[in-house]
Amino acid sequence: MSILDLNDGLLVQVLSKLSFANIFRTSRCCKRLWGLVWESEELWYYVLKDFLEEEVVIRQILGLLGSYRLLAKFLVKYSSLEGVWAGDIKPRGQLLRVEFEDGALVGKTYGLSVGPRLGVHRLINRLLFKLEPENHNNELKVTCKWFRQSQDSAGGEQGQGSSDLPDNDAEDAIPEIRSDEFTLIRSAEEDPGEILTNPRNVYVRYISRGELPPERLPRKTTYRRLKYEIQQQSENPSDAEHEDKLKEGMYWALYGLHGPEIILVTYNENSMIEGRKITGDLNVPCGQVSFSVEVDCLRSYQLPPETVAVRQALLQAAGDEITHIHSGVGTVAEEYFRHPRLTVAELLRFRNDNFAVLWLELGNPIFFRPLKLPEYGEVGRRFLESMASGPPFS
Amino acid sequence: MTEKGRIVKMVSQDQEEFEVEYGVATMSTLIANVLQDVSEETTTVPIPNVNAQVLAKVIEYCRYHYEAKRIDQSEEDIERWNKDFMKVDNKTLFNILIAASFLDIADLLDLGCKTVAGMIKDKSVEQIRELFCIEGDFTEEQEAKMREENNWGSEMSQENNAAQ
Repeated sequence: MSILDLNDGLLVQVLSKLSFANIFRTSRCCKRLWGLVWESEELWYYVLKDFLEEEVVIRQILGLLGSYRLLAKFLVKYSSLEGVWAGDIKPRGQLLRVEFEDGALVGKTYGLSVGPRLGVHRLINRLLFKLEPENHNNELKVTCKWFRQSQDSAGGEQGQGSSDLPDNDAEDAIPEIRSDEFTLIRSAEEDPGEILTNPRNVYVRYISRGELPPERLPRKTTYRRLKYEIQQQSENPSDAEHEDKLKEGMYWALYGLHGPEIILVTYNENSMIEGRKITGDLNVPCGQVSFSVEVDCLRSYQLPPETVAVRQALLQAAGDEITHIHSGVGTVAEEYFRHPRLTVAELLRFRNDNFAVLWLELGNPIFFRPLKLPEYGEVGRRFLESMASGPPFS
Repeated sequence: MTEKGRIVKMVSQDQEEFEVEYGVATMSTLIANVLQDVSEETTTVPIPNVNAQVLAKVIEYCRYHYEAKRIDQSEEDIERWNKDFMKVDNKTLFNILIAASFLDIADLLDLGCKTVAGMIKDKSVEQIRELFCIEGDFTEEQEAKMREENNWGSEMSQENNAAQ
């Protein structure tokens, strides 16, 4: 007796208990199984049933497509785009987050506007693209829509200056998605011309007003997934030592007149704490290491009081008390990253998750604060996890 | 007659009779529906497309689970029993699946499907074909389409290629 003696309904129920990779392999056994997987709706209805109950966004997409099979195809193909990415547009770079919203996958770039007072900041974002699925003669068609940045909003128009206009004529695509990297291709380059030629202008005109400055968008941009360890809030007091570590993740700081920049702090394989720029500037661009300090550090109470006092004085009115000092190096360079070199630097940690990096040569400390993007559904992650898990026993 | 002491006679395809307690028999939604629609005196239910060997297996399942529920058997014990219960040859397994689907016993159907899925899991196309006596019957055209569908989620198909 062969498995093919089961009727379609039963075969579908068996298949629905499998992970995607296993469904895929089974479908390649014969025509009938192939048809059940790729040419009918029932299997995907079972696979997506629970998921659809939980997720409004997914129901919206189903509404657009009118097909469980195409919905599954869209989710399988594009879900791994969800997440936080760093774009390699030199020198400034781009922090991009992709999430499911209103029946599409949307990509938004994030930045900060910084008010006149230290520590007052606001997260701002701009819609960059929308991946819209469509049922085109019973096949999945996905269109990538660009949202152009409005060229100049200096005309005194009130409200959000950067209204997002869909760029409909663009033939754009995301040709290849790997779990940690993808490439966006635009039909044409977009170049507002003035970026970063005068950081002061950018800062005064855009960032302080709560807008992201216009940016050059090349034809091809490669995005890499930002990977860092997310520490769970520990309820166990014995984990105090763990808590004592500087947390991995995104931080932001005001790099002088370059304005706010976003860095990723990670522990690298040489047991150094590394701060790599997600967004950069004309001197030290995105992708470069801004500072690198030793994991081993000195507690402030282990040091002579004068040593701490000198540093504390440099922090001036910040009001944060130094708890740990990590020594290491910081990167400095001339414009366009000419003659980059490493100079002695220190990372001064405070009680909260904030810290400052002191380039001894430059004298002024730069203050870093954790950057938290708004929470989102993580629909894609949950979908991929549910699709990757197999049956409960074998 | 109270439901408690009521006995239902199930008759298999090959005319073998099984006497089953009411509570056990009605784990099958089909039988429960049939018994609801007929007078209480009727106690014989023919199961025309399930043979004695398979019906015995199905009744064994229902009996165990009926008891297990009554005495509040632990999850682990039930799971262990289920696993042992499913240690049968393919033919019996498929027949149980068909019977569970016909008799509408949701838990048994689910267990059967999971068992078959477990057999398929992490096997290559060739191994699956061999396991279930399936002959590859694709045309050139379909092979081409298959490669195209291969683009569904590059990662997952990479995993797929690696496993072969």
